[in-house]
Amino acid sequence: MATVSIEQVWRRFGPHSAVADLTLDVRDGEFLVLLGPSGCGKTTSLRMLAGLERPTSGIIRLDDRIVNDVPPGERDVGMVFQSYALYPHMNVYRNLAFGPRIRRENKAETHKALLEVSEVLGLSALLDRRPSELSGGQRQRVALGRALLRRPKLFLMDEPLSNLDAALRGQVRAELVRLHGQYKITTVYVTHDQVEAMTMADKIAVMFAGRLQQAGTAQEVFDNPVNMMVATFIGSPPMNILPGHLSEDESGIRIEVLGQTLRLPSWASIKGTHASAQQVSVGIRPTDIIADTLADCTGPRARIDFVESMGAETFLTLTCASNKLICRAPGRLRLNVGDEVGLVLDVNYLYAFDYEGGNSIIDRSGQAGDARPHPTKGVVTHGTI
Amino acid sequence: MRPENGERRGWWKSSAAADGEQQLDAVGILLLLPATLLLVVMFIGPVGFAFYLGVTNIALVGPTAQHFHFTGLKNLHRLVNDRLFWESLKLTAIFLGASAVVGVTIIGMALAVLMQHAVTWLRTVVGAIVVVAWMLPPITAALLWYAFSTTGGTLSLLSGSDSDILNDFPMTIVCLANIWSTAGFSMLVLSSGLRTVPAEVLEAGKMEGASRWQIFRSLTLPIMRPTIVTNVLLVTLLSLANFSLIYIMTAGGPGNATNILPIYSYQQAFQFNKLAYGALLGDVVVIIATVFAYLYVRVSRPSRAGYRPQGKLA
Repeated sequence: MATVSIEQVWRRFGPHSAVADLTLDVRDGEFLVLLGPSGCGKTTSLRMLAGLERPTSGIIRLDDRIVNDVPPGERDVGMVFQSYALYPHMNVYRNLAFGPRIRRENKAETHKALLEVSEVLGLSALLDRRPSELSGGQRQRVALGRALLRRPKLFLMDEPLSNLDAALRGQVRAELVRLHGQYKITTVYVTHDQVEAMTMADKIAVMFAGRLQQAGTAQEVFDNPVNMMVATFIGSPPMNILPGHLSEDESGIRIEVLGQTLRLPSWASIKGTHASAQQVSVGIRPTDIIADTLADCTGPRARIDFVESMGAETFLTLTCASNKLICRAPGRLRLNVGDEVGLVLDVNYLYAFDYEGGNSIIDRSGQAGDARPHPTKGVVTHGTI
Repeated sequence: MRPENGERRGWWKSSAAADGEQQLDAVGILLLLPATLLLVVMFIGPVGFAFYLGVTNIALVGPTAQHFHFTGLKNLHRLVNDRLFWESLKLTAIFLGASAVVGVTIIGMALAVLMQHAVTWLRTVVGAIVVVAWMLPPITAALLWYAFSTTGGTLSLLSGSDSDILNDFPMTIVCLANIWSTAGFSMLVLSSGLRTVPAEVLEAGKMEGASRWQIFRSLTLPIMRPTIVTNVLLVTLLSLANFSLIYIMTAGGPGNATNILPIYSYQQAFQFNKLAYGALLGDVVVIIATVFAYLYVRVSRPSRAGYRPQGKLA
């Protein structure tokens, strides 16, 4: 059990900064997911926590002890590698026992702990097999078991599910959450898969281009993204970004988008330094748009370019006033390419980003939790499809 | 070299053929014919003839040079009772063991590890020197080492005396010369072997708290085992065939101190004119080489339990 504190850490490779000015805390027992696209510095950050990589500057603390110069073997950190990195010439038992043997731990105790861990992970029947004789899921569990036997203060995982097929991935995800609940070991987990991040994390830290963009719970990051990069990276299909205009008067904030003016709810305000009237990038998630076939819809009208039926829901790719956008509609909907629909945007989940820098402009701190049975509609209220 | 599925399949076998069952059809035989003919004419024939000569009384000059005949076990009987032959066999073992197994492999390994970790310029310089030493013709290498170690050479000048070190420690110097000229090959083979050891596996060892030496001994070496064994066998074969190096440096001397089998065979055949006995000694070399070659083929064959890349779902 441990807390981690990363303070202004940089990692440079020549002129290139893999990690820039990273400051991040992980609480005791927390499951932190480092999320970001490939090359965003998340693996480098993890390797610095492991001790496999030295920070160029900054401080890393493990339980208030500065560990910048502590070699990986002395950090009490267990790591699961993306390739599992099992020792190919040893059977499962010896793979698991390698660490304890190196550390000269008591043999009888190791044996007992090893059997216990392999029981928990369902490896008992596989102990005399070589890694090459195991399936991907089994190898992954051996890698987990090896890290667990270290009795680590901190668990590090580098995209541990990326080599598994989709069905197994869901299963192992649940397994990992269960194990975390059982052992309560502080965990830092690296992934580029937002589904893994959303489902497993206590806290998500989103990284882009070496910089930490936002850290918060899954819901916070989803509902209140600090900038356009975070907003469009999380959520599938991604948030629609449309050109628009924002203005503020005594009655509140108004956003012009898709040829229509929407008034934001009263909790919304403009963040400190931003101008009160400006051109903005307006963001809205596909799930916060309703495509309406009713003739009396007063909202913007759009033409359907493409229909993606997923069974339970349908994703429509639309053109509206020469903008492309995606919207979610219920499944079993009889809509065809070329049909016209009216759009209703949910003003509660309308985002505005700085046109230049992409930072979020609207302060949503006043927004209450949402118990929406139906989304609140912007301009008009009427039945949906 | 190592198919993913771990099964061996000769190219002549249809993919449906069960493992271990070899099927030759007409086309297969036709395609094998040129290679077979070449092998028979250029290799099996001459070697077979050499084995025959080994049990005749052929000489280089004199009446039996042309009219030789089969003499049964006479030469073999001589071989078994020849003290010099047993001595020569022992020297061959020492030469192969010290230079090929110990020297070339250990130094080759050290160089390979150095090449992996050293800064670029050092890597370039050392790599170039070592490979050049390997590329030099044996006669150059031999003369170089002769000049280096004989009276008035660098080594005696360095030691401040005019002693003939080549004469005093002939076997050591000859082994060193062989190591010097073969280490480059060994380094190339082992370097490529080192590259196949996955970095993450070594890092996993580091995470467990293993020291550099423990990682090298318990992870790198065992994972590289097939490459190391292959290398030892290849270098042994190369050294066994390296007749010219020793012949130029010492011609088997002083006395018989470096008289390894290939040299003893040459001596008997072309200096003492006993072509038949020389051939028989050569046959012994062929048998030794065949054993190593067979082991080499066995080892370099992919095995089911061998290392396969991990990661992808099997």
